[in-house]
Amino acid sequence: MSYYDIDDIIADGQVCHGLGYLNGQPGEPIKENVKIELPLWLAQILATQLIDPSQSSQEEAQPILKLIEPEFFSKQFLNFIKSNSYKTNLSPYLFYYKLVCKWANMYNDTELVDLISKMLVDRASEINDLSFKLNDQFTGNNQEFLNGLDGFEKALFKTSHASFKDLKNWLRTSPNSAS
Amino acid sequence: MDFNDILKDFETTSRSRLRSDDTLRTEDLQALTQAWIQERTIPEVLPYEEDLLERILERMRKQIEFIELNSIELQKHEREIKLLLVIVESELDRVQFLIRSYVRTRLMKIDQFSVYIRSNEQELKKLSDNETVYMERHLDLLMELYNRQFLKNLPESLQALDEGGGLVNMVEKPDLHKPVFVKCGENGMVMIEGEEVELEKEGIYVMRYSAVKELVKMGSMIVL
Amino acid sequence: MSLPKQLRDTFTPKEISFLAEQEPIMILPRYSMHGTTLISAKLPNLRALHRESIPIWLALILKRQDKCNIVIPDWLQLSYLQQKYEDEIQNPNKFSKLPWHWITISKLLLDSAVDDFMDPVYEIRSLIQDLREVRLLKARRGLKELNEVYLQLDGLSLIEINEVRPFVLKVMNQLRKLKESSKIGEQEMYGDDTEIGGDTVMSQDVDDDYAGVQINDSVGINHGSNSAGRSGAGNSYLNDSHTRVQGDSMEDDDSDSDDDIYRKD
Repeated sequence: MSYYDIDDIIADGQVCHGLGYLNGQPGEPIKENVKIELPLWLAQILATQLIDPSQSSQEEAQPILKLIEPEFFSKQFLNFIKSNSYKTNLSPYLFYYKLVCKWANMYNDTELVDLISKMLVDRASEINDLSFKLNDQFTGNNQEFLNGLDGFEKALFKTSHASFKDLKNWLRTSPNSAS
Repeated sequence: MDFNDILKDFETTSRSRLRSDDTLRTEDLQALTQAWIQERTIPEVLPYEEDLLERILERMRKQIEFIELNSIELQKHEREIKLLLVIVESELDRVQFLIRSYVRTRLMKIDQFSVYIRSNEQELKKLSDNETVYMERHLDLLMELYNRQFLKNLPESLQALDEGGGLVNMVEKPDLHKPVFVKCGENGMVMIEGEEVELEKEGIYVMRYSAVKELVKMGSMIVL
Repeated sequence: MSLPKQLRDTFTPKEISFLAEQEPIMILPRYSMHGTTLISAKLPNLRALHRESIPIWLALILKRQDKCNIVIPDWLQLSYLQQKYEDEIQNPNKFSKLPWHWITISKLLLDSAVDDFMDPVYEIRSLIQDLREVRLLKARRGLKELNEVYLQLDGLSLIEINEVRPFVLKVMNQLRKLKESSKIGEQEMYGDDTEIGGDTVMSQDVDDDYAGVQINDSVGINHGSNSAGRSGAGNSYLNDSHTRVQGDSMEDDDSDSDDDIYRKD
């Protein structure tokens, strides 16, 4: 994660839900158990702040917010990924893999990471195969798959395709007579 | 006779000097090529090859002189000189390409990691004098731009550009865990994440740079 | 920027060609010529019909001026290439040993020195094409086994490596980032150094309300079966991921039945 990376900044701005545990303080508009939508960076900070830092015992400490998992980490979604990694449509999420990193970082979720890694490898090899075609027309299923890629995968496809295309073109051209 | 012996001695030493000069030249070019490849593939800045470049630049200057001397009298000479000139020029172009690309790659990395390099003694040593001057001026310009544009409107506590704490570190360090392609010179072993990985001679591997950094420095592995 | 974006991931084919042109090749001069000193090495005096070894870029210049004939290297002959093609087909998990720059050099020579070939050129061209396709298929199949620790690809030539380089590097990098993101929390709990600046508050105070897998074990878990499997001679070089702590790895089961495409005999 780099400070100046624009992708990172946008990814941080993705929204997820929070569940307020705040005790109603005077003047504080948020009541208990209210769902609010927060950008990820704000949610990250609030979720780890304790209400009362002076409390020493861990059991009594309560975070201000409890994060509800966004839909793309829900059990159904993950199950769908397990069965069908190609068909999953990641394009609405833009930065799925970055989000996975941040989420897993917060919760030490190795299971999630393993699952997503496997999915990445599957989809990536599919991307590699597809990036061989020189012309830009893809049919049916392939087109669907390509539309369902997230930001990272799309960039991967582009660079992979460019690399193959460069080589093919270079092999085809014959040199000029001048050096 | 003594005189002949002296002559013979002189000849053999000068011939062997020439021969070693030849091999030195070929080796130099190979070293430059390898340095270029390394700068392109490795995520961090490598030490500047001061001596190597000095030698090569010196030879280049001689070649340029040679070209200039000979092209003035071009019309008089036979075609052989023309061909020689073509050869010399072509080689000059090739070496210039290598050097330019080498320097450009380094500059790109310096641009990216200026703040980090500046604050770190070890990294600073890797730059040449020219590059250090370049970096300072670049940073100055950048800071002035940021300041004038928006930094001066921020409260003072937020004006720093080199904070380390917080969620993300402001200073961008080279990511030493990026993977690189390497070729093994000899059998060996490498530790990755606490696991040992055996390496075979002549094998081609892709692994993270941090794991193979020492081996590359020692020369038992080559980056591709 | 000083270096355009496409050059940051990999080399262009032209740059690889540049590297290949530095390789030596035999020529047969047609005329005599004086040598000269060059930056890299001395150009020897050329005598007609006496073979000399010079770099390819130089040979191409001379050839263009009609000053020499190029001696086609041994590996660029029909019989040799046919043998290699047989090898490729018979060993679907290995790459046959071809010269480091075989594609580049063959292209350079086929383009500029057609008359120097003994064998019919079109046959050589089609053989080279076939070889390339077979190897490409093998490489693609092998990439399916990518993981974030390491990958072994013996026997590929530089251009073929360069072709897949951006893909491999990007995916491996991302896999590594994924793996590291779940490990950082654990490392900080045990007070280790991490290279990515993380917020220490987070990992210690995270509640157990929502967490995928709780990290219970300590750091030094050794995967006995895996390490034994790896250091043995004829074993698979395709590693499954090795995180320091692992509940169960999905790839563990797969590693035995792997394609072993990169296995070296």
